[in-house]
Parts: sequence; C-alpha cells; structure tokens
Amino acid sequence: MTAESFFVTLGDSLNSFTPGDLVGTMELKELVDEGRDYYPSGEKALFLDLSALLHCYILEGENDELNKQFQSIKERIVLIGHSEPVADSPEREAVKNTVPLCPNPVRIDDREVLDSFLQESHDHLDTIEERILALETNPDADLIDDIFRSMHTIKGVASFIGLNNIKNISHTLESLLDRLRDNELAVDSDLINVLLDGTDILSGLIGNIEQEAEEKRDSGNEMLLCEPPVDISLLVEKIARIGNDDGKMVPQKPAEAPVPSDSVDDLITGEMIQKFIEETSDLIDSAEHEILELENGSPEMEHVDRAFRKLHTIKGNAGFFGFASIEETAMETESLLDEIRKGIREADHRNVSLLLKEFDIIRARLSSPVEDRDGGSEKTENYKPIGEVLADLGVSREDIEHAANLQNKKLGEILVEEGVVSEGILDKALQSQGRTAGDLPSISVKRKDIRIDMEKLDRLFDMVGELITAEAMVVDSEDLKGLELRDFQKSALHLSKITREIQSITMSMRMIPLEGLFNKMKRLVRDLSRKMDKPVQLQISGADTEMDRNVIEEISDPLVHIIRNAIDHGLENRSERSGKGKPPVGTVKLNARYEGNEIWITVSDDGAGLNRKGIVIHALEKGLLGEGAESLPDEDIWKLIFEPGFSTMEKVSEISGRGVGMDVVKKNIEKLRGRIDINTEWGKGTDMVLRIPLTLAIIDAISCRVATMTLAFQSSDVIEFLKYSDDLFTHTGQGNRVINLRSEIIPVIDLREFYNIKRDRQKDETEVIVVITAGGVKSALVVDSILGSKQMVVKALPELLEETRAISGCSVLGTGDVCLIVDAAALIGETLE
Amino acid sequence: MEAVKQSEDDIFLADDDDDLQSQNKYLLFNLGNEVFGLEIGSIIQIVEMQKITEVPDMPPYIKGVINQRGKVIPLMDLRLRFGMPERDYDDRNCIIIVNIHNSFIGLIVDTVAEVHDIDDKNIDPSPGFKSSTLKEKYISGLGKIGEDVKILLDVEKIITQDDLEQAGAS
Repeated sequence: MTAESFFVTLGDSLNSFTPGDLVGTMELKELVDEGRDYYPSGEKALFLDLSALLHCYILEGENDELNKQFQSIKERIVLIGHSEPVADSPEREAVKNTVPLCPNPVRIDDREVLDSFLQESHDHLDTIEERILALETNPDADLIDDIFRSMHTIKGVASFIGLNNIKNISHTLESLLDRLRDNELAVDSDLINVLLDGTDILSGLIGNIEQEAEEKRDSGNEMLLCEPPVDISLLVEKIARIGNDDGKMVPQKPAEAPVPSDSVDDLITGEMIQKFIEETSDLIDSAEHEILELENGSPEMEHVDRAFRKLHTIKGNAGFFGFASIEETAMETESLLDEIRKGIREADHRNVSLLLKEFDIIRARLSSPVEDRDGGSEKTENYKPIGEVLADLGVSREDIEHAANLQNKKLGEILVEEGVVSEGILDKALQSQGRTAGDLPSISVKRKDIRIDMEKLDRLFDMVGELITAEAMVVDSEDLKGLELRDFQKSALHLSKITREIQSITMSMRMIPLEGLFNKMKRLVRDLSRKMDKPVQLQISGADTEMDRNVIEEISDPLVHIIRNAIDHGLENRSERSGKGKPPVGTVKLNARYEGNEIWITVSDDGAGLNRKGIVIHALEKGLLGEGAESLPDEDIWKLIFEPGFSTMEKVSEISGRGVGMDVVKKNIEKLRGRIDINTEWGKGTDMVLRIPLTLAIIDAISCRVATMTLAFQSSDVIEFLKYSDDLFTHTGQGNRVINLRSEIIPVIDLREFYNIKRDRQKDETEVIVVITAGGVKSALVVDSILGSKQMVVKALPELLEETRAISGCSVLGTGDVCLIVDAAALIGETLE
Repeated sequence: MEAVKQSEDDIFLADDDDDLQSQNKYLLFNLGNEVFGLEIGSIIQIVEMQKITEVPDMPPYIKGVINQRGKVIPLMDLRLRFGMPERDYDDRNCIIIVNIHNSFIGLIVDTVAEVHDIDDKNIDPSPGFKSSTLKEKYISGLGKIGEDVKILLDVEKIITQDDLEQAGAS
C-alpha cells in the first residue's frame, strides 16, 4: 500500500462507514492503524484521534457523542486528503505544532482497569530498563524475550484502554525488539540508547496520565482522559537509522548475538501462566457479576458492555498464551454479548444462563490450561504473527478470522449449548481429560499474594499504634499503682509480646526491598558515565534490604544527588586516573544494610576524595566559615558541602554543580529523621552513609513539660541534660543567652519565648536544660521538667494545627495525654542564623 | 435533660441515628445566657471536659488538643470564638466533637442541654444585620421552640470562616 492508495481507501471507507457496525469498525480501525506510516506528520494527532474514536465505537457501540466526533474528524481528514500530496510529508516533522487542548480524549470507563494498568506499567518499565541495561553487557536471548514480553503487555493493555500514544510507542519498540530477536539487528550502544529513550518516553507518558487520572479522581469511575501529545518522530528516525545500518552491524558481531528460539514454551514461563490464570478468573468473576446484575432486573447495557470488555481481555490474553480453546470460548461469549448489546438477542433468562455456562466452561479450562495450550500447539509455528496481531487488541483481524472459525467449536460446548449435556457433566469430563494429561508439568493455581489498598494498610497501621497506646494505658494505669498483681503482670507481659509482634508484622507489610530503587541508579550511572566520558562500574549489594515504602520514595532524590556528585565531582577523569595509577574504570559502590534500628545506605566512590583545603577556602569566601576555621575537625568541614549555595566546582556542569544538590540531600534526609556521615580520604575516595531510621512511625523520644505543653524530642537529637542554674548563662544582649558547656559556647533557646507563652511563674529549681543537636548545630533549651523516655507512635497533627512552628507531629502518651514532637532542626533553624 | 445527665462520659449520637432521624434534630447547649443549637448530623460524640494539651502558635480560641480513643482532636472554645468573655472551666463544661469533612474538632461549651426537634417551618433565616458580630456570622437560622428562640449554628462556618481574618487581626 502506498500513501496515496491509503488515503483513497481511507476516504472511501470513511464515507461508507456506518456507526454501529462492529466488523466494519474493526476493519476501518485496522486500516487507520496500518496506515500510520502515511500520516502527515503535522496531523498525526488527528489520525490517532480517529483510531481512538473507532476504538470507543468498538467498546461502547454507537452513540450521538461519538457520531458527532466522527463527523468532525472525517471532515478534517477529507480536507487533508485533498489539499496535500502526502508522499513526501514524513520529512516535514515538527512544522506544525498546533496541539489542540485535548487532542485525543480517551474515555475511561473503569478506574480500576486504568489504575492497575498504570501500576503494572511502572513495574514493567522498571523491569524493562533493568533488562536493557543488562543487555548491554550480556546480549542474551532470554533478556530480549523478557523485554519483549513486558513491552508487549504494555502495548496490549494500552491498546485495550485506548491509550494510543503509549500503544504506538510500545509497538515501535516491540518491533525493534522483534528484529533483535530474529537476529536482524545486533546489540550495540546505539540500540540500547534508542531502547532507553523509548522507555523514557513511555514512562513520561504514563506519568502524565497518572497525574491526570489523579486530578480527576473525584469525577467517579468514568472519565475522559487527555492523552498528552507526544512527538515520537525523533525516536522513529533513530530506529530507522539503526535499521539502515543492518548490513554493517550484523556481520560485525555475528557470534555474540545468540539465536533465540521462537517456540512458545521458551517465551512463556510458568509464572506468566499463573498470572494469566489469576487474572482470567478475576475477570470471569466480574463478568459473571455483571451478567447477574442484568438478570436482577437492571437491564442496562453498561453491564453488557463491561462484561464484553472483560471477555475481550480474556480472549486477547488467551490468544497470546496460545490457549486456543479458552480463546475460542471467550470469543464465542463475546459475540453472544455483542448480539445482546445490539438487541439481536434479548437479555432474558435463557441467554443469561447460556452466558453463565460459557463462563463455567472458561473456568473449567482454566483449571487445566497447560493441557489446553498443548491442544492448541499446532499453532506454535504461527505463534509470532498471532501474538503480534493480537497485541493490537481490539484492532486486530483476529476477531474476523475467528468469527469464520466459529464452526470449529469444541464438542462439549456445542452439547452444552444444545442442552444435551449439563455443564456439570462437561466440567467433570473436562477435568478428567485434564487429569489424563497429568504427566505434563502441573502449575499450581494457588494464590501467593493479594493486593491490598494502601489506605487500608495505613489504617491498620494506625490501629496498631492505638493498640500499643491503649495497652500502655491499661498496664501503667494509675489505679494499679502499689498493688501486688503477680497474675496481672504475667498476663500483661504476654499481651505486650503479642502487640509487639502484631506491630512488627504490620510494619513489615509496608516494607519493600530496595532493589527497585537501586536498579534505577544503574541507569543513572550509565547515563552519567557516558555524558561525562568517565567509565564507571556500579557495584550493588544489599539490594534485598527492605525499607518502608514511604521512606524509599523519600530517599530516591537524595541518592540521585549523591551518586551524581560522586561521579561528577568525585571520580577523576581518565587521564587523572591513569596519572594516579588507578584503574581506568572508576567504581561506585552502592550498599544497603541494617544497622541496629537504622538502615545504612552507603555510596562509595574510588575518586579523588574531599579536598579539605579547597572546601575551607571556598567556605571562607562564601562567608560560611569564620576565624579559626583551620582548627575545625574534619567532620565539621565535610558537613559544609551540605550548606545551601556551597559548590566547589569552578564551572557549573550539566549534571551537577549548581550547588543546590547537597543541601536538598540534607533536608530530605533530616525530614526522615536520618543523618549523613561522610568518610573520605584525599586521593582514595569518599563514602557517604545515609543513616535512615527503619520506620518513620515509631521513635525513641524524651518527653518534657514546658508550661502547659508536653513536648517530646527524639532521643537521638538530645545530647545531655543539665540542672538549671542562673550561673550557667551569659547574656549577650537583646535577651539572648548562651551557655558555656565545657568551653563550647551554645546558644540558648527559651521555649516559652519561642512559643510566646506568658511566664506564669518564677523560675525554680525544677527547670532543666536540654542540650540538643540538629544538622551539626547545638542548642540549649530550657524546659520545666523531664517526664520520661519511651517509644512513641508518631501521628500527624490534626489539620487545624498543621501550621504550628517546629512541631513535626504528635503522640499519645501512656497516661492518655497528647505530646507534641519537636522538630529539632526546624527549631534551631527558626531561631538561629 | 435526662438524656445528657446519664451520659457523663460519652453519648453517641451519630451512630444510632440514621439520616432520616437526625434531620431536624438539634443539640441545644448554653454559652452564657444564650441557647444555641447544632444539627446533630455532624456531631460525633459529647465528652466531659478533660486535660488539654496546649498547642503553641494558635489563635486564642484554639485551646489545644485532647486524646480521644487514640485520635488527637483539636479543641475550640466557642466563647472565645464568638468574642464572649473567657470563663474558667468547671465540670459542667462539655466538649462537643464534630466531624467536618472527616477531620474531628471539639467545641468547648458551657453546658449541654438537650436534643430537640425543630421543624423547618419553625426556623427563620438569620435577620442579617449589617453590623453583624462575630457570633452572627455563624448563624444558620433562628429556631423557635414555643416562645423561646434558639440560635442555630453552622458548624462549617465556625471552623473554616474568618480564620485568616482572625489571624491577621491578632
């Protein structure tokens, strides 16, 4: 087909198109999609619109809104067909950048489908990226297959939902991978770059959609999404270039690219089949639910529509995995539903029972899918094209082909449909059939995990916190003071054991391994290393260390900054390295391990190390240090690099060096109540240790009383307590005071003054001085009395009180009183320069 | 009166009333010599006065927080909120805990009187004086019970409105 014939055919088809004709719609959509290479580049959005619209037709049937849209698109396309010879148009990219506000709205009918797509896509993209990077060093056929499959899934689901940009990009990448798999291409760095670029574009798109979906969360289950427009011409061009180099590339590396086997069994793992089974049974369950609703006297077509879409997914998946009979049954059921939808069949009891029987057949097949797949193994050789086409779910010619094959129904199905055999008997028959095939590797259908709403988990977490508080209230009750309660003590101990265990299980439920985060760093290191032309090898260890999910999100940015710095500033360039007798390839090590109640994430490089002299000179220039700087201990000097605006690099590099990185690191880590240690040796390298508490939810704290307030400090912030005495203080004017603690001058923060509390009594003997530290700055606080030290479950402040200065949260004490948790860093930051 | 007396600790209003029943039912309480009413739909619980933990940096009418079954709830003194003179708390004071958009707030009142039905037809709109005092801004209507007039309050306005103005003024 040429561009010209495409436009002629398209014009004809558009004119003869009748909305509501399912087969016609599918054919037209296929035509539109196949012609994607001929879209005039400035008008791409229009054609994608058309494709999306047709997809809506397929999913929803005909309605006025769609018809209106169709008319307007049709008019515009006809216009283009006349006004422009399109043959040379692909070169005119980026000429017209007229992006309409919402170029191609995608109708989302089911939030859950979208949500799970987004979630899964993230996972897939993470895997893809990791694999692509692995591919670079180890061009292994299995890896390519893995990437291909993940990409394929994204494409399939995106197409099902109607996210055409995502579908198109993943399709492009998939085709590229396919050629790689067929050994038409060889793995080289250009190819890897293109793949990574494509993956980035996909993540960007998915991120955008996620954001939009989040914004529209309130609008209920159905919504219109504006898929962000995206220019993939650059990517396509790059891919094309790779394709053109074919002749040169392949012979260069003939031996290294292994020939992947194309058989289904190599492609599909047991794990995938298990996932398919789980997903399909879920889908069947919900489709059944919809159909039952229908019978319950709510004859609305939306139920049929939903069931239709679910069956459609099953059909697609079954086709991909080669489960021929499931695919067929789903196909059949789908047509039945379509007939009901169009009013050809009534939604009466007879038809509902028929549908339910079909569902049961699919269920029965699911219980022995391997056998089923084997049964369809004559298709193995055709596998790839089928998979390929099926991926364009809802677009494909499959439906039509299979419609022609409907007469090849399984015997059992026909019998059931004709009412000769009950489905119960058929089930049994099918099961025994499955059993005879027992020598095939059996796949367990048992579920190993379930998805839980984060909100429920958080609620559980809160409740456990309350449980612990309540327990303390009972056990430490004032009423029990002075009583001899041996039995009670025993029971209390037992109770406490149980609550601790519940607490640790609950916490562990929110823990995920650091692996995902670390894998992201692989990509970062690779990009940085190329950009700066410093060969770097990244060594990762302890990636299985688990951390609170919320915490992992928070440390991602700091880690990026630190690694950037390590490579940009830490590692020397090639010539410097060889001059120092270091290996040409620099090493960055990323390690995570548990250390007491903390997790230590260490980033070490074997670069130049921190330059004490340089830092001191620079800090003096910037006014960050005063007199006597030379005598400061090393640690204090290293900490300067976290100061806002500090940057030792002369010129600002593209990657880092704007001096904003490290203070962000410090802030983020402090927000997590963590700290950073630096060990460095000039010429040998630098270790940065991020010490993060295991969880944000429980802290060791010291509570104290100031006027009518109960405040708590994190134990690790507190250095020491001093008995109050007027002699300790030196007034420095303006009501400010300092104390001299073992010849160290420490500024005093009077909490009463800080919080504007009236002095309602004279200072007396009970006053205590608490010396705290945060971010390397010490400060002495005057409090009324110390109440005690204990573990506290941190709660967020109620909404009305969020603005309170230097308070990060609150907690309920064993006595039932509320105490406010002081953010030491903020307190010091607000008071001192 | 009895309804309240027997519930020295807590009475749950929201739990055992469904929407139909809670309509037109008002919890009446006293501030000084005046009787106010709150529609009981938004009321979670009434608890006796308890030890308050003060929170700094708050306007004077936010008295602090209490712990109620593990939930930390801020308290607002309605006397101060309405610009009435402050009074020391005694054991007749009550805290009415309300739920506004899923955040809980306790309102400190002098005494709680009773729950009373007031039909819509017996509720007049606020007269809307031009020189409205703080208090009048939060009125949702005037309810008539026999000869008496009760001031019906709009909880949401009490909590959300004028907070900025207040903070700016003080």
